[in-house]
Amino acid sequence: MLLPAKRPASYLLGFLLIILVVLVVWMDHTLTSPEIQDAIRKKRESQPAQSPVDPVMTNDVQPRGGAAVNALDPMHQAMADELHAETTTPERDLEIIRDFVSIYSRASGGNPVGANADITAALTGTQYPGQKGHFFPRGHSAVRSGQLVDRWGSPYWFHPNSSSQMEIRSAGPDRQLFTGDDHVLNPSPSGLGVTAPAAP
Amino acid sequence: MNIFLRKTEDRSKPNRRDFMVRSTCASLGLTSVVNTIAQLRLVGSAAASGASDYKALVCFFLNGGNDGNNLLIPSETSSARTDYDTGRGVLSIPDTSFDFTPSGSQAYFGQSGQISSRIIPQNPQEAYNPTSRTAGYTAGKFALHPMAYPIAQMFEAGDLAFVSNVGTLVGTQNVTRANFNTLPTAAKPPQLFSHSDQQVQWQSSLPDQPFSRGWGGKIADLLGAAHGPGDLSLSVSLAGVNSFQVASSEPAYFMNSSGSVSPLSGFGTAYADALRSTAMQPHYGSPSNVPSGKYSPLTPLGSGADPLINTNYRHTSAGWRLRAIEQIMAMQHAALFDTEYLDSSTNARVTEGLVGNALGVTATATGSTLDSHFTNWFPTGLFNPQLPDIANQMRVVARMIAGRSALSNTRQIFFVQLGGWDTHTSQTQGNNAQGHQGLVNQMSRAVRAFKDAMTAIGMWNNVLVFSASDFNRTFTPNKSDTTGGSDHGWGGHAWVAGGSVRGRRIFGKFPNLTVNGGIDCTGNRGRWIPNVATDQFYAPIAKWFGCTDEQISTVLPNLTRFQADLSPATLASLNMDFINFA
Repeated sequence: MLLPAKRPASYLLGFLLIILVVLVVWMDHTLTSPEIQDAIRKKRESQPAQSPVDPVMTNDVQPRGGAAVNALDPMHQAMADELHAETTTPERDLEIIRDFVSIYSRASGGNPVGANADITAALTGTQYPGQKGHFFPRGHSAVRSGQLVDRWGSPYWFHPNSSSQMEIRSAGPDRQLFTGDDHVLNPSPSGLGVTAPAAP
Repeated sequence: MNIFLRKTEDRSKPNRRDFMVRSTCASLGLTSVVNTIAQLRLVGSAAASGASDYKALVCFFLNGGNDGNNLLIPSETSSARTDYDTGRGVLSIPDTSFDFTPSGSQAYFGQSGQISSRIIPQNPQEAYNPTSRTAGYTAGKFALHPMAYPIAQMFEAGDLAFVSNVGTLVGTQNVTRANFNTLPTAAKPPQLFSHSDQQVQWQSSLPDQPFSRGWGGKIADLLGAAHGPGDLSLSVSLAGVNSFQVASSEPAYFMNSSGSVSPLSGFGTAYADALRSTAMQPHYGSPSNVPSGKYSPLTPLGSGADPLINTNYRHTSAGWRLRAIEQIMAMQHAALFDTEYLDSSTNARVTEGLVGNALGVTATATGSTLDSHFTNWFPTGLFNPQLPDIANQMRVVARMIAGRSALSNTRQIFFVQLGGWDTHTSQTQGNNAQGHQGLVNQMSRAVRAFKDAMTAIGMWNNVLVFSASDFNRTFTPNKSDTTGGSDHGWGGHAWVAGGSVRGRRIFGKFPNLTVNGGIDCTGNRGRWIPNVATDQFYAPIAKWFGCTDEQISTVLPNLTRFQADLSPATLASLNMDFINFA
């Protein structure tokens, strides 16, 4: 009777070991049981596609019609559908483009680099032959000659100032960049882009 | 607290657990000791390198991304010139414009008749070394931008050289056009073509790691103990906060480009409103060691003495305020925070006095003043105001070097900056002060005036100026009319100037000017994959400045990814021996 009072640690360790053994046996049963595995499989099959806000690249799939099209995350498709829609404003168009860039950034660890054609290739997964995964529908009307264009048909102008700040500019109705009717999201800081430098 | 697991409470007989705890603590202590020893070795090697000489390093940063394609230009009949004309389109500078005769508002000081910005490198074959990524250009001549003729003359005189196609590189894998899009992200500098990211990477030369210090700041940390006995930091910025000078123990001193140091806000200049004799300014050092022309406000007044009548203070409200402030600054505080705050203020005023003394040295051995060299190259009417900001920055750097004896430091690192190089629109339009030509004009004149000032005081061999920028720009224009400009590129041309520079040469490898091929990283805009990493560009400069090989490995830890060492043979084989170390 004196031993437990002086050496409680041995009994404590023994008790923890028993609990560990029980847990291992239970997990082994759970992972190998055919009934449980079948239930898990059925639950997975009944679930909808992956969360649309989860920025994971989607892979090309074979459609019912037989022609090769690209399966796109439904949320990404909905965002693309809103682009250039009649009810969408030019400012909202810019925000949608920004959101696609942001999604790419979260999935890839950084903004797509380069000019319009490079960014478009990154978003549509056409940077190199056989590239898997994309965020923006390749056949979208906003992609012309490999560039993302605004609702008037002019390529958007991307100006990366930092990893978290990129100016996106639409040339506007006159289709001439850097004129008064341009639509601009995230204007560049002074001295960069076409923003006038600050007075010294 | 481990009473449950102890067989005995007698601590004089340690069990295995006690041994582990104590040995772990000991190892932690040992780690710090080892690190300390390592740092001491670096500092010690700095001390051993000698402190009797003086050297100044000037980083001339071109904020916004300079179009180096229109700074160093192929000229006359050559395959490179053909590629230049083909790719540049509306941005092309005609070969006939490199020889010109200024007139009217462009009648530049000291120049009569025809001026030429053509240069004749002594090593065109090395610059066109037909290995790896070059196009096999075998001959040809060069020119600088017409507005760069002041530094073209420096080039021809052997005071300036170019290092071609420098840029940020990680170095873990070779980057080519073929693998650019498929390389792992970590193998390329993150956020290429982004202003702030590339500025930080150019100024730290460590693109694959989170920013902590600039490479100039690292040098200041290492050399500060041996070369910076004065109160002023080794690093001085004339252009505000920058990544280049961020340090851990040697923070940069920031000053403006006006050349004046405001003694104390509210008292005008030189204490005129507060002091009886403006020649007798306060000094905050030891009361027993007051420099000439100073008096010590820390010296206690005699018993019954009037604090205004018996001192240098005026009997005015300004004099009362200054006296009150200085009495506050002379107070003793029990709280450490208050003491530290007071020390910072006091140190700032001491430093102001030192800098003020240094800036006061303007005369040269030839009797002219340093400032005259800047007004020579920035004559009245060319700019408004006469001296643009970059000229003032370089003027203050020149005066700081001239007055170096007041600062005691034998190494100084300066940072100056000229902004506006992000020329997306109307790049070829402008005038003396605006557009790309206006920027080139300001840059070239400021560098040339600085060179003349340093030559006048016999310090040209002790200074080295190098250019850096966010990135080069796209080779092709973004529009086909005169409103067109260029967009963000990658590798570009840098220049380096100084008495120790092996001038009249083009180092590195001049790029293949073929878009959509060659070393164009992706697309068809002409964004050159660098041939020379920033580490390779900076390492010889750090060596010239006095860093040992061991220190350089601390300052530029990625250097060995690009070259084995800094031996003369290695530098020559890379065509990077742009400094004469003898």
